[in-house]
Amino acid sequence: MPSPSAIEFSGVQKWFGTNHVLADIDLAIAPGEVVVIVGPSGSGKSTLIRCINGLEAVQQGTVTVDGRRLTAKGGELAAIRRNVGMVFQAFHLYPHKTALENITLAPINVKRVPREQAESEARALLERVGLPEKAAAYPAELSGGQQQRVAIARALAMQPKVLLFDEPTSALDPEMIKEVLDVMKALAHTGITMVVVTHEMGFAREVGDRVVFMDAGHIVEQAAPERFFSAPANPRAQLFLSKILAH
Amino acid sequence: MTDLGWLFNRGTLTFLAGGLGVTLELAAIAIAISFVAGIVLALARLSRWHVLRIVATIYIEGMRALPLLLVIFFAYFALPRIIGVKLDPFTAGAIALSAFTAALVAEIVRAGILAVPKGLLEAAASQGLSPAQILRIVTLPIAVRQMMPALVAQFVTLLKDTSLTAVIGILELTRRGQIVFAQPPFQPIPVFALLALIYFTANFGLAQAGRRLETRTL
Amino acid sequence: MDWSVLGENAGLLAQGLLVTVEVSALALLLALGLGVIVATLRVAPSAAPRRIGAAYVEFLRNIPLLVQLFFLFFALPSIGIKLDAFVCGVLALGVYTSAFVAEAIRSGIAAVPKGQLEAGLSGGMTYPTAMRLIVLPQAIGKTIPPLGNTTLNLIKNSSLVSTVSVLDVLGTANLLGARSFQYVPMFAGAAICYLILTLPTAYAVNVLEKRYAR
Ligand SMILES: Nc1ncnc2c1ncn2[C@@H]1O[C@H](COP(=O)(O)OP(=O)(O)OP(=O)(O)O)[C@@H](O)[C@H]1O
Ligand SMILES: [Mg+2]
Repeated sequence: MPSPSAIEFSGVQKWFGTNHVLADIDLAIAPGEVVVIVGPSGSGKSTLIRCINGLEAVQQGTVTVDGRRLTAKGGELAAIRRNVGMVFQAFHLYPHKTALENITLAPINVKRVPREQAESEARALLERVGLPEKAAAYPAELSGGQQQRVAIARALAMQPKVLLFDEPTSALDPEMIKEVLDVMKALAHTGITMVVVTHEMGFAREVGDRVVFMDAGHIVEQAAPERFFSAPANPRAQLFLSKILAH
Repeated sequence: MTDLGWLFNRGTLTFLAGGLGVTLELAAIAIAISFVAGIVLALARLSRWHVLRIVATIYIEGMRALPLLLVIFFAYFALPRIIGVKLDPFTAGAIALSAFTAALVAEIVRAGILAVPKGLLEAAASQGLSPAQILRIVTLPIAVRQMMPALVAQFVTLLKDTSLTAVIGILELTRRGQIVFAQPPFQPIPVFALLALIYFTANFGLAQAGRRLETRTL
Repeated sequence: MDWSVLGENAGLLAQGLLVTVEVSALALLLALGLGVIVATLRVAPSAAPRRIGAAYVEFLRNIPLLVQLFFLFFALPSIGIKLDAFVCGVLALGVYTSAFVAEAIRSGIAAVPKGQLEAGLSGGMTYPTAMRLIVLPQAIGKTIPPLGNTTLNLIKNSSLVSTVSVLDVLGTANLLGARSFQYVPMFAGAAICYLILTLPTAYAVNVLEKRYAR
């Protein structure tokens, strides 16, 4: 039966040793949906989204992307990953490649896009993230905010159907957070499916379709942002919000 | 000692320069082979395949625990008896220097590979690059840059180590120096001063070139 | 190949092993003594001693040990200084290695944040006192792994004394190999002797390295 979901977790369990990191996770994300995941440190947010592109394997249950199951097998896994872009907290740009080369690397080597086409597409992406003049710059020559925007362009270069963000602004100075969030907001309106782990409640409120609250490996509450922020049902979510909104 | 014409004449200097040529040739061959072999050994030691990992570990740790001079003697005197082919001194010397240095390079490469941030590999994997592509495009280039200082130091050592092949009769710089001072007027000190100067210049030059390479690639 | 020669000559190899240990131990003492002095020059507060220390290190490091050994053995007699081959070996090996010892100590000291020394000085300590009480204790941990490696190299480099006819492990194996034409067993025996010395040293270096990592 074809799944209407872009991403689907069903009955997922994961342990690191004896640490139960994901417990009974059932979650379906529709195509084009923007889901924001929040929760205290260590609650399993990163682990959850890393399961969506197979950076972590689950021990029970299934994770599917576009109806294809992520069982860690070489070729099949790589094929799914092509449709799932990921943006990391620490950028992870290739330090020995220019911004342009960072963006063209996967299209040229994985999709076999001709170099010229890949480069012109990369320039268009740099334009889109507001960095057209940085094509020849190396990561070390870019500010954190600029590096993260290049990383977003790199993720977009594979034309993924799903984009994952793991605390994309947590490593940034306050004045750079906005430039990255602006790019992400613009993306949210393009119809791409986004799963975002973030502490930026303003972003969640403004562009999120749904907020998922995790605690100790469980999804304990999911709601539309308005509802979640104004009247969280779960006491742990209330506590979390009161802490995070206090400053 | 006042007249050094016996040393600073065309014939003798050409003879010594030829020795420097052999020294550099030997070093260049051994650098090239040990670099490639060192990478292969490092990958074998990091491989998921048990047998490969164990064989590579034994080779690397064994070589690192033995004196190079023993390896050179072994390659020249003992190896031909095992493989049944007589080796000329140059070939035996090149084999010994390469085999020995490969083990040391392997450890440098392994440390370099392990120092590549895991997140970079995850970024590449999450874009659908295959393990072989990640190794070739991301891991190795970054690792090689990080290990430049250690590699250059290793190759300076190798350049010095070529002198040991004098003992199996390769006519490299040190051996030719010995030949020169074993002839009238039997004055070793000026010959040694010249040898020291040549080695120092070559090594210092190699180290400086390495340092330039470092600053350019970082 | 006749492996029985190995058993027949085990006693001679053991004697060679003893010579290797003697050469290595004496050279190590010399290297540590000289190395500490040179390292002190290298971190002196004024430029002149620092330069002398640097010249010493660069000179010795960039000239092959074999050339330095041959100089002592073949060249010194021409100006009337005749040293025993064993003495030449210990001297050459010790002096050569002292450059690496000095470098290990210097880089260990350099790895201690500069603020530590400055904190000591601004607290009214003299330079030597601040060095002794604040910098050196922190530097020791960072110095032990490279010193261990240097020791390992010294043991292996001691084999060079065989080129001036000292009968250490390698010299003995070479001699017996040439006499019996059984090079493979003799060199294998020599290899075992070296492994007996180097593997425990390498293991100790590894343990220390782990203990002092970061
Ligand atoms: N590779 C790993 N090996 C062992 N335990 C791990 C590993 N990665 C994560 N964990 C553990 O799994 C739990 C969930 O970690 P995870 O990184 O998913 O939390 P998180 O919600 O993203 O936290 P944070 O907000 O701090 O990023 C934590 O207890 C963590 O210590
Ligand atoms: Mg996390």
